[in-house]
Amino acid sequence: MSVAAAAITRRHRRPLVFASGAVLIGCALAYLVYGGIQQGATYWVTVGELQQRAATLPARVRLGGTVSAGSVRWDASHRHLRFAITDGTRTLPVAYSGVVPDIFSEGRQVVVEGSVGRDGVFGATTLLAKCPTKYNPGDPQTSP
Amino acid sequence: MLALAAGAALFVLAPLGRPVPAAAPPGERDRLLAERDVLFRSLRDLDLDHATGKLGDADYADLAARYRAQAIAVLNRLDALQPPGGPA
Amino acid sequence: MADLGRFALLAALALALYAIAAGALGGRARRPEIVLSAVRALAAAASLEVVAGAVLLGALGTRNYAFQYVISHVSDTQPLLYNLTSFWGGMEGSLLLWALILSGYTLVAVRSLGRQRASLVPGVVVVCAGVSTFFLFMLTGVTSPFRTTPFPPADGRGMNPLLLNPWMAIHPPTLYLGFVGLTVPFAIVVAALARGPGDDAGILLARRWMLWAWYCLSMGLWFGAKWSYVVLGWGGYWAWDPVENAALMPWLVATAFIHSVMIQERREMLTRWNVVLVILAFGLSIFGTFLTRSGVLSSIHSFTQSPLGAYFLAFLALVLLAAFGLAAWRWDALRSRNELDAALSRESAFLINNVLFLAIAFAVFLGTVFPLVSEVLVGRAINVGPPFFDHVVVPLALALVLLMGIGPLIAWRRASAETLRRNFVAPGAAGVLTGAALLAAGMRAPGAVLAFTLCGFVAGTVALEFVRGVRVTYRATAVRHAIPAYGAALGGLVLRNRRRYGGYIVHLGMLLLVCGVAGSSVFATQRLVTLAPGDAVSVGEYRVRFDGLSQTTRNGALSIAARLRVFAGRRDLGAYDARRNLFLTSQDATTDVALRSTARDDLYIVLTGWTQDGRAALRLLVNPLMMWLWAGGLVLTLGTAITMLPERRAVPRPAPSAARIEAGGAWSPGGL
Repeated sequence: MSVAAAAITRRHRRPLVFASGAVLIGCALAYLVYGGIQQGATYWVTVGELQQRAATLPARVRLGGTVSAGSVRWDASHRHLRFAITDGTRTLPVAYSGVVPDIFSEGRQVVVEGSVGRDGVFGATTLLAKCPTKYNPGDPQTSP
Repeated sequence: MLALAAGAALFVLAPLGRPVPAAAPPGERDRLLAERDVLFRSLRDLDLDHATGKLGDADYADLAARYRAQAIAVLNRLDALQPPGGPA
Repeated sequence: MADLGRFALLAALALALYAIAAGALGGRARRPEIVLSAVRALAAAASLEVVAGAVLLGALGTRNYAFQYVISHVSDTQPLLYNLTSFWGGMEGSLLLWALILSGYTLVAVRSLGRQRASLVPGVVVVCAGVSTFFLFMLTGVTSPFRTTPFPPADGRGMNPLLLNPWMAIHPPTLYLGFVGLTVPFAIVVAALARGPGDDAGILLARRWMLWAWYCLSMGLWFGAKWSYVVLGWGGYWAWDPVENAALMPWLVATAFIHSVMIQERREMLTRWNVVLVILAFGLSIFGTFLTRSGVLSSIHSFTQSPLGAYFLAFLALVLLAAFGLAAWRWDALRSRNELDAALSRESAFLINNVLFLAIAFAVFLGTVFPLVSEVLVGRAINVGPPFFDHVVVPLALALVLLMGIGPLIAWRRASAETLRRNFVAPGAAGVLTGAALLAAGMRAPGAVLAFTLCGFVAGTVALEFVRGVRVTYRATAVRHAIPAYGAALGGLVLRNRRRYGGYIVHLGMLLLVCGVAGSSVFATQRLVTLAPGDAVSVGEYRVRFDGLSQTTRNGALSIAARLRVFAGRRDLGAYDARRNLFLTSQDATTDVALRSTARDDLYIVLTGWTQDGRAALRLLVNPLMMWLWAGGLVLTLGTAITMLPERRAVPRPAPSAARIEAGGAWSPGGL
């Protein structure tokens, strides 16, 4: 096939190739996003919501609140942490074993992810603490 | 502070008293020079692609001829813009 | 002093407003003297901002507790360096830094544009002055750095000690150099759109600025990751936090632009797409600033927390509407002159590259604003955490790595299937060998094996490019001079094709990064133990012995250290301390990680707590290939530096002719 003829054939095929390529990537993206949401989505709740509407919420939730004063307790081996989280009116005990961010202390805002156990204690698998200043050039710390 | 304000105002408003003729719009020459640079770069890349085996001989010959023809045309137009032998 | 600072900012605001008016008027009426006045107004505004900055810096340096900003960020025990760098540690100071950087960039841009394309100067002045106006308005009307108190306290609060770290000191300014750097290309493009249906909408002029902003964003992200790793003590460096994502999104768009602009340069295509990218990048940088400051995503119910967010959002909406509106108005005039020659060409590879980068940016954006979107749509704030991002981004990123390897194998304009097949063999073999070797060595994690295989493939491609290029240069120059060493050929090759080979070096840096990420994410080992003095624990190939706790007071903090000794087999690798510092005045605590980095892996030990009887709770991590991640950043710097060296202009010849072009190496047609 001469170069010119080949070029003409290529030109006809081109828009189709690109459209299908873009559509393919778009579908892949949609598929990945869907799967990702399934894997990672958790509801944001406050202590009040969790206690009032426990039945309507999924098991795993993300809970935001403040660490109650005087509630921070470590176990003997300093590996397991217990504290109480509050939204101002209601309080909920939390148990956590894992990396504790440096900013964590009484009165600070925290976010925990986990579920309420049968004993009424919130078992947290993730603990994040937020810097008290309005503008935080660093990120809130995280722990896996 | 007043001194600062006065100084700034003077500095800023001074040019308004001295009208300047508007500069000529970017000329044909600048556009041609830019086009020439692009063509030269394309030719260079083309040669590198061919020498490193990414471009087949037939494709290379075809594209090189096209770029060279375009480059010659641009250079001729540049020549026409100024008397030959004058400063480039 | 505070009065001087306030006055300076107010005057700067007035000058910026004047600059907008004068720039617009002067541009419209084509009266250069009015435009000059506008430029001078911006220069005067810049000087006044410097004055304001000096006032703030002076107050910080002298611990002037009459200023509220100083009270919040400085304390008597804090080292002077950090007192000074707290300039950008808080909201007001960081906004002032933003304004300062923007002024600096504006003046440089106006100067260089004056030489290259003076018709764009009025537009650039108007846009940059407009953005400056916003920030100056925020600084004067909403959140002033010069708020004072009539009763200065004896000592300030100081910054959170986590921020007292060199990486954190340099991270914000570097990031801002990037964020603000995206304003200039935006201004250039908007100016070109407003000016008239031009040929390239200023995109080619904007290229170097985008590249610079991209580089600063890259380093800003790198510094942030380093800080997170070394200071925060959780053993990781990236958490898909909204603040981190805020910087990542413009970086992704800028990376896409860097590639697609090359298509526009050569073929005068994709102008519209590039215009969209430039506007999007700037929009994302403002959005990022908004995210970082408004606290809208870090906690729930937080729109009430900070009114600043509303201002930023309004500004962002205004800017995007105006810019996209302009683009829509000029849409037809921006139509591409050419079309793609072939489906198999470097252009099409770059197009796919762009689609992938934008897909990742979209996914990151979606994941970041998911709580807000879901609140609006479903009535409930739903959060998607790192699992979402990892799940979506990793496959797309691996596809990009694959493309990094394929791209260089394809020629511009068109490639034929046979040349591609021929060129594919060696790098493909390199990749397969890497994968096979890893599998043989016992690696089973599919993601990691795939990642390393692809890295091997890309490394093979880049190596092939260098080898072939050197051979060609060697032959070409050998024709003209005495036989040069291969080293000289290499130098000549790189210098003559700076963009291409600089780009390859940047890609190598990215490969190192990918390997570092793969190694440390997939193969990290962790142990959580509580040890009594004398006990030892094994982690990875190391054995760590705990020798006891010690206590000192340093810099106003009680520092508890776990003294450790690290062994590998029989070799004693030295003593390390894992510390926790408890600050006496505040409730803050920081961690000093015991870190031993080698090219193979990092041994990372954190003291998480201790008991009354002297036992230490330790967290030990072995992170393979961490150093590769940091090295990647350095290689990226080298590559970018090479790419940014100005290309030697073709030397104009007095009497060019067709014969001249044919002969003597179309290689470097413009001469050396």
